[in-house]
Amino acid sequence: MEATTTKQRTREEILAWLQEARERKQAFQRKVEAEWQARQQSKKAAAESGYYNIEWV
Amino acid sequence: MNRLDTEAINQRSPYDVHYENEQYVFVTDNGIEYHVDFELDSNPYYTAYWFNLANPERSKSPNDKKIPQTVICIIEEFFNKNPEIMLYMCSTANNQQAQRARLFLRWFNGYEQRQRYYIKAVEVKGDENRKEYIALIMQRSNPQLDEIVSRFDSEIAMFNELKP
Repeated sequence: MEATTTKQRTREEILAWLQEARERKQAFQRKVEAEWQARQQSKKAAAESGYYNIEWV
Repeated sequence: MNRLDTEAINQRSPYDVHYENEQYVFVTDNGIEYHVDFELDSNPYYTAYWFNLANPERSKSPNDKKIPQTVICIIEEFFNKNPEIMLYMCSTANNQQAQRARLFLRWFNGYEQRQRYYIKAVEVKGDENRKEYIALIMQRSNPQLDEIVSRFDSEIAMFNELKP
């Protein structure tokens, strides 16, 4: 890990940094929700298909 | 970032944690899923990762002490595998970021190994005067602790003092 002491970010740079962090956090929440929704729909489709009601023997 | 060892997490975690789609996932006794990931921060001065915790159903789990215990186990393993810095930004959903910041600090301060870590939580005045809460967490053994904390403090102080 490297750190430097040469320069301090400007207010605008920090504002952009915060905005990027906020957008990434929101994107992660949306991604997790979309994946969860897709899994729920997949489970619902499987249940409605009657696939699990098939008697194999 | 070095991938976390879920077996190591699960030795102490009350909820079973598994790795899925580059996320660390656990399901509570009430069937509520939690997803954790770590994203590389873009600051040019030191290596840090943003800690993200998401609950896809946005369900509440009051008084489930196993959730903070599990999250702390994941964070502990993060630091075991990655000597860098962890950053946390509270969600602003429902304008409850201050409560979330206090809750996160309470989780962390209740952690038995808390003395191993330095945690600094700050309030910053973001866009449109919205208050953001950010925490910086690093191991006290990090040789750059003083330098990084000093930089973090001075940048945040400057940001909060200067009006756009």
